[in-house]
Amino acid sequence: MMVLLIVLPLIFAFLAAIKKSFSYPLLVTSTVVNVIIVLLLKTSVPSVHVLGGWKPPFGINLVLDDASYYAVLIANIVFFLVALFKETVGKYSTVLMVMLAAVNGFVLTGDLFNSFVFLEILTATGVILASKRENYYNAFKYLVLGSLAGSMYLLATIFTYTQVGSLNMAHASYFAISEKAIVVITILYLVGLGVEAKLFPLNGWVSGVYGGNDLSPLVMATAVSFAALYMMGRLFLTVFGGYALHILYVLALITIVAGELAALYQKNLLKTLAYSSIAQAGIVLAAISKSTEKMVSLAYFHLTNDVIAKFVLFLVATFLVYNYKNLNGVFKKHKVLGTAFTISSMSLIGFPLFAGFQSKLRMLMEMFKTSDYLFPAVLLFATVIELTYLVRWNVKLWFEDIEDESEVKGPALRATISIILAILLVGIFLAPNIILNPTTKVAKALLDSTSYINNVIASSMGGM
Amino acid sequence: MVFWISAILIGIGVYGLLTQKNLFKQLISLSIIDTAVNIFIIAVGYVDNGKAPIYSKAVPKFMEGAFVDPLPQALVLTAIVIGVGVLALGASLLVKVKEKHSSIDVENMKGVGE
Amino acid sequence: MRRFYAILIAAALVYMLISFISTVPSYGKADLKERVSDAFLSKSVNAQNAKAWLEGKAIHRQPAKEIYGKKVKEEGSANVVTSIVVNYRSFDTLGEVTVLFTAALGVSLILGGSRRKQYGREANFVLKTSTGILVPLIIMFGAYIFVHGHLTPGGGFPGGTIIAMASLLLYLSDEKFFLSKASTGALEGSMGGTYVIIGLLGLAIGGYFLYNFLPNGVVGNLVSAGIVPLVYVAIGLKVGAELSGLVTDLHSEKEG
Repeated sequence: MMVLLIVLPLIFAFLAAIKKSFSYPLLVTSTVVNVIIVLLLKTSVPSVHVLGGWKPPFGINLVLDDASYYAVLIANIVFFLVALFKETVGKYSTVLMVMLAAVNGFVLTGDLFNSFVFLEILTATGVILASKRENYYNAFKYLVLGSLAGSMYLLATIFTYTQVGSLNMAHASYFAISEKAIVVITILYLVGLGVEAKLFPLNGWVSGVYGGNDLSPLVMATAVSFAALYMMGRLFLTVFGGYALHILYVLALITIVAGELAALYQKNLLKTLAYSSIAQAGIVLAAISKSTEKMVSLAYFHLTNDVIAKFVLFLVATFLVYNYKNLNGVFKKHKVLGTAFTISSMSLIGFPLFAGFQSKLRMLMEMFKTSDYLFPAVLLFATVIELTYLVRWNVKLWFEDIEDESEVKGPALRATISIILAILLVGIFLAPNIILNPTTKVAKALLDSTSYINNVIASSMGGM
Repeated sequence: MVFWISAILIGIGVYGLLTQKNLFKQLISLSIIDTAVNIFIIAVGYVDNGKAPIYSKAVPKFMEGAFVDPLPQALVLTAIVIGVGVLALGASLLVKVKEKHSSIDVENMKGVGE
Repeated sequence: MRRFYAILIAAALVYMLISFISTVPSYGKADLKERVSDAFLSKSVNAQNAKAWLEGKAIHRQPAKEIYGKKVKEEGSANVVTSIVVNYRSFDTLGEVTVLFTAALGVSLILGGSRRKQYGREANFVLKTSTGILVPLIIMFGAYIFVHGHLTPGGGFPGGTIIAMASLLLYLSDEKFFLSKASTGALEGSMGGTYVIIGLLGLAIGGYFLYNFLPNGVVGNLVSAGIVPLVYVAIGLKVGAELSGLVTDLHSEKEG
């Protein structure tokens, strides 16, 4: 039952508040249970759960279709992997459980105000995670921006209520809102979600939060980022299809250029990866804004590759940065970590033999077919810059003379997981359809407003 | 009109967020924006001569135009609580920023690398 | 220069909002027939035809009918806002409870401490005596507000806050007072768990999460509206414990 995905981590979090010493075992239990439920839910796609029995649009409903299933699958698997690292998680198990419930709720919900509440929970838990390792000032900057975004999102939701009469996404999708109103609503949603989706100029918080400690980028650059970009697709394609897409396109292109250039000049490994995340989010948003089935499918394909690669990169980078003062030549001591790191960075650049090649090449080919030359130009420019700084980092970490002689025990769990995910990236290159088939279904589900509305209405006729 | 007051307050809050150097004043600007949005939400639901949506001996019947809109009031209940939670988190972070950087004014903070 | 850009951005935002305001019905002229609230006020959600509304027909308008003092099959609370918050849109309230839980959790992780911060000030006689008189009254008042949440304005959140203010008064009047995190944490967690368990019971009995499985009774009685008073009592105690824990964190410091 999809509502259990949201409710079980919550009740485990409340139980952890009763007895603090149980919080880590409860975290592991809840992530394992969630992954099992997600795998069991595969057969009930598409379905709608009506909360309390009150029919939509009067009550709140949860929607599980191909798009939300894919997002929920990736998010829960990422949380499961993060939960395996006990020393990284530290005292933050309860926060992670609440964040897991919030990510599932944000993705599954079919009600605009409900998604606002879950967005605020995501912001609050993100701020708490960002404050690990005394990273208070950056966490504060994220709090201010995230709270502003929440207020804009709430304002847009209320504007929709005055036009449509209810708060339901299917209803808002069906109703013909007047031109003047819908422009304002979509711009406010763009600002509201743009902070979480790392859009220019609202992404000033990313380098401080991703680069500040060892836990927040593992969760936020992967699962939360995927949920936010899924929601961008949901709101701007299914619900308010066709508006503000040009603004999104232009801002996304600027995001790519600004992110890559900022990454080029960074001397700190975690901040470099943070800026690279910004640029990748820009690529995904530019592809979503094209709103054709092929481009949206490739956008989520690219996002999946990015999530896997960033997970490995951050896993390795956070280990290195917090154990060694000087990173020169450090991979000579940790060969497995180094191989995984290199494979993931090659995938990010788009070298043949790694997953990123498939996604970038297909996007370029699709764009050339539709004679849009601006996006390919920006994409190739971004790739060249990525090549420069990622190869520079790899050379520094593999081939420079070792300056820091401290001996740190090799982390077995980290190495195992990174190398498995890196091999997965190679596997995706060889057989891209294992990801392309699900993402094509995602694109179909996001672009097909009619079947979304029909699913929700069917549940309202058959229910109480 | 109430809607105009709300819009102007949002503008003041955003201006404050963009220009204030003191971190606590940024938190206050955030609070102003939250309050302005809540005012707007309640104002959207007002019906002339409508009473509070509670059935009692004085108002036992459901009639057209008897009550104001209850849904925005329920939304504001949630929005106020969320604003309080965010403010609490922000204030506790500021306590720690002051301890670590010896000032909560962006120009006087020590030890903030960029 | 920076101020100029800030004024420009703020002015652009205000202009955009004002241009939208012209499409909203003017202040006081809201037509509830076009919104979901009409069904909430007349307690007739189950009788509505959502498909017809989507196709453009107005909501099935109920004729004027007596609600106070009658047995209404669908929903039993006299306070319509409570019926929305705890019954029709109860999932939002679960999210709200989680936000407060997260905020209190965050403050305790960021500012955590294990003993009372001593300021070296002694509260004066007036504060100490009046605290002794006021604290029981405040707690009783808070409890009254959340127990009667379905009959009068208020409910779990204001009621819980008032109870937490009683603990703040105790902190201000006595330098030795300290609520242990274990007790507030236990109350908070168990009440939160109660809310979710009520929801899961609804799932098991009715097939929908947070289904109202208790009888609705007569609108206006204290014992009415099914699970609504139970949920509000749980929320009131949870918020009271949570905010007391938050006040504790603000008054504590680390050991040594």
